[in-house]
Formats: sequence, structure tokens, C-alpha cells
Amino acid sequence: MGIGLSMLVVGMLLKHGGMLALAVPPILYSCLCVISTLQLRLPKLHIQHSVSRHRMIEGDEVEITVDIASEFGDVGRHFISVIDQLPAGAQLIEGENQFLGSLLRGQSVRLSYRVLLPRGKHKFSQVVVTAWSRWGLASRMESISHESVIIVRPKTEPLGAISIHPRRTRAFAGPVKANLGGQGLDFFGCRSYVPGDDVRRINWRAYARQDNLIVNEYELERLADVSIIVDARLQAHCRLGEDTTFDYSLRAAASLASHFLRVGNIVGLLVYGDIVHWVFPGVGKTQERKIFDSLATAYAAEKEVFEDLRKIPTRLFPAQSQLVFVSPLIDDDDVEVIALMIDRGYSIILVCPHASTWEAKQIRSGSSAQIATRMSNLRRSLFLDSLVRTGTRIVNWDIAEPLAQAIARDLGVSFFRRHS
Amino acid sequence: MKRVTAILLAVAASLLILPALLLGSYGYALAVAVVSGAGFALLRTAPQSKWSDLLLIAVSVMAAFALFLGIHPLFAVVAITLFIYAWNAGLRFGHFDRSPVEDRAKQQFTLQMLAVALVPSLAVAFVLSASLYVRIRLSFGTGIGLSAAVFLTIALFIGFARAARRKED
Repeated sequence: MGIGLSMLVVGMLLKHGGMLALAVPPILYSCLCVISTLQLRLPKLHIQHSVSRHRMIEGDEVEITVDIASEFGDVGRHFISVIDQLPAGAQLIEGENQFLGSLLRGQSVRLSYRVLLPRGKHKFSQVVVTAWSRWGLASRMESISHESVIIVRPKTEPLGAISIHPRRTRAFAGPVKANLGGQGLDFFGCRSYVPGDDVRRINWRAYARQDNLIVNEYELERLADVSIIVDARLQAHCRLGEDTTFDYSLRAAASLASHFLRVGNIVGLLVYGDIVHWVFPGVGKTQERKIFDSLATAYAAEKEVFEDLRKIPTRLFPAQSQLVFVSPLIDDDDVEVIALMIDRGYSIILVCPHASTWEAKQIRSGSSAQIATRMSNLRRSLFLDSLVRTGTRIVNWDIAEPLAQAIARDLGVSFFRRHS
Repeated sequence: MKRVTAILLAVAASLLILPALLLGSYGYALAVAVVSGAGFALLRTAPQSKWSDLLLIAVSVMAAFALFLGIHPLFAVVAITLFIYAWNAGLRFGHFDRSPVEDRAKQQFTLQMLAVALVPSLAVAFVLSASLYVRIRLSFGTGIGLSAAVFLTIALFIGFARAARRKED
């Protein structure tokens, strides 16, 4: 309107007919826009949003269907656009998330598309409807709210047997050897017979040698508390292309939680980095889902309070239980904290992800690159050796290899065969 | 939407550039080409920014300048109308481009947008150009009548707008 009026004034001052003619389109256009905007009514639409899955693993695709039904009143034929807004990070794989065209009263259309979602909790919260007037002069936009939540959890991989040896176990039967004699499968030792002992457990050969009744004892197998701690301090992790070592840490934590729950332990989770994200210990499928949900929404943060590991709330963990740390660790202070926790009676397994192979691939090959890689590996070995001396069991996990392989190498049965 | 904007801008620019080239105003033709190119880049990347408003002003000034070069007002009027349509389309429908849509729907939309932009623009331009050749003897009575007609039109427009607003509330 301003442009049109300016041209009108200039045209009148210069007495220029052409200029006056040029002033008419902007003015006319502005007036028609106002009239069209006032006349335009948004169509009444009934929108139903459905997703094929509400929980999925990262890397999976989800199919989303949007049914749009027209409930037009007296507004006649419109061109409308209905866009199903995608959450941040969603990648459209197939199909369209927009309808563009006209809908008559009673008509309905269906949008169907597939998206790839990254790890996290994703909300499909609104559908944006835009309608415009017959001559395209005016438009109206409205957001129709709905809520479909999809939780994408980290990928897990099946792990082999992991032997854990916490100092204290629960009173219930379970998979962990309790270092106590009693009923079990593995031979633990012998002791003198006391009335009430099962006659079938008498070791007759020992009785023949010693002339005393001796009974065999087997190692008790009990439930153990396993707390998984994920280091979510931003400074501890590094970026590897699209992923970070934090993403790998979460996948490792998910795999470990799944494994320990599957064999029957009581598993809790702490994500340490921003605020204390704590999943109370529990057992079974429900607990697994809780842990996966928590890992799905976990993020790395930079907080001065949680700069080092000293603020780990150890009161949350049962005394003398098994802790599984998933952390790249930063410096000697972290080693000191782990040593302190071992002194307090916790048994610790450290899963230490690193990206040496990935980093070596990124830098050019040459003598200086080789020296840099070697220095990095040596520094890492020294660092981990100091941890081994504290009694920590370490899984030195290069993210280029599968976690199961690293665990089998460093914690599995073959490790004990090698070192026994 | 990018296609619509590109076609409208290209037509608008050619309507100013071709007559300017015929008249030998090469500098002006180049300036129009540069401004239109910048306009297309802007409406493609950030159609809802303040810069697109500035661009509209720049194109309006260029269209007005064309009249002083001797280009017929018909070309300038059609050009400015088309550019207003392109600017409006970018402003209102720029967000459509971020979401994929069926090819058939896209083609239909492009055709409709071009039709509703080109047909009224040409009609308005022809009427205005014709009016330049119409001579009316403006006597006192005709002047008063014309003023009253304009006054009534404005009053009707305001009345209509208020009624529509009330209805909406």
C-alpha cells in the first residue's frame, strides 16, 4: 500500500499518467488482500495421526499415517496445504508429509510416509493447515495439535557371558557366584557334617580317609545388584563424524543392562553429567524398558558441578555391589575416584570406549601420523594400567570393533583361561 | 513454490529488460537482471525476511524508472503486478517447500498460481493502459461526482472490512 501511495503522490506531482497507472496495482492489490483475508475462513478438518510403532531401535524406520477428512461448512472449494510437522532430526525416507490440493466436503485423503529417527524421544505434535483464497491473495494458517510420541532407544548387541564378583549379593537365588558355601552347582569346599545336612552331600571318600563325616559344599548362586553408570560429561567425549563416543557409550550401557537383566540380576542406571538421571534398580522386562527409555533421552552436558566424578552419588548404589562404569575417563582424578570406590567395597568393571582406529583413519598416513597414533596408544595403556592396579576390571573397547568382542576378550571366559 | 516464483520473476524481469534493450538502455537492463536475480535468490532462500520487502521497493522504483526511459506503462504495470504476486507467494507459501509433496499436486498448484497471477495482472494492465488514452473533460460536476464515487467506494470498503471482522469475532 505504501509503495502504491508513494507512486500516486509522485505521479500527481509530476502529472505523469504512466506513474499514476503504476500506482494502481499495488493499491488495488493491498485492498483486495485485505478483503480476501477478511473473507477467508479456514476449512474444518478432522485429522487423525497414527504411527506404526511407539518404541523402536535407532536405525529402524517408522511408518506414519495421517488421515485428513474435510468437514467444510459454507466455504466452498479451497486449495489447502496440510503439513505434518516432523520432529527435529527426523529424516524422510519415503512418501510425502504434505498434502496440497483441494478437498470437498466429505472427502478425505491419506498421507503415508516413512521416517528414520535418531535416538531420543520424538513428539509429532502438530499439523499445520494453510488455506488460501481463490485468487491466491490471502492465506490463513493454523496449527492443529495432536500428540504422538515415539521413543527411539539405542541399539543393543547380544553379549556373551560376563562373570561378575560383587562382594555382597542378595538373599535370593540368582546367577552370580556369592563366594559362600551352600547349594549350587560348582564345587566350593568341604566341611564337617552337622545334623540336618543332606545325607546325599556326604563325601564318602573323605569319610573313608578321615573317619569323620565330611559333606561337600557348593558355591551359592545369588542375585546381585548391578548399577550401570554412564559418563555424560561433554568434555569426556569426542565427535566422530555424525556420532559421538557418547552415543557408543549409551549403546554399550543398553547392551550391558539388557544382558544383566536377562541373566536375572537387579539392574539400576545412573546417567552422570547434567542432573542425576537415576533409574531405580529392578528386574525384568519392565526394568529393561525403563532403562532403555532413560538411555533414549540421555544427553551429554557440560556442568561445572559434574566436572569430575567426585560428585557421583554413591548412596544410590547398594553397598559392596557391582558397578559398571561406561566412560572414556579424562584424567588422573577420575582414576582416583574409581580407586576410592573400590576402597569402599564396590566391584568395578570399566567399559572404556575409545576411537583410536577411527582417529588413525582420519589423519593422513605418514611417519608423523604413526608416531602420533603410537603416542596416543601408549598414553592410553599407561592410564589403563594405573586403573588395573586399583583392581578395576577394564574393557578396553575400540568402537571400531563390536562390544561383545571386546568384552569376550577382556572379561569373558577366554580372558580367565589366558590369565590363570 | 520456487518454480512459481522463478517463472513470475523471469516474466516480470523480461517485461522490463526486453523493451529496455530495444530502446538501447543496456545499463538499465543489466540493473533489472541483477535485481531480479538477487530477488530470486532471496525469495528462494529467505522469502519471509525483511530483505524481500526491500526488494519489492527496489523493483517498484525500477518499474517507475522504466517509464522515464520511454517504456510503455503496460510493461511496467504487468511487471510490478507479477513481482507483487511473486513476493506475496514467497511470503505466504514459502514454508510449503520444506515438506515434500506429490508431483501431480505440485504441478496443479504451480499452474493455478501462475493462472491467478498472470490473468488478473494482464487484465489490470490492459485496463490501466487503455485508460491512459481515454480523455475525460473534468468539469466541476464530473469532479464532484468522481469524488463522491471514490468516497463511497472507500466507505463501502471500510464498512465491509468492519462487518467481516465482527462476523469473525
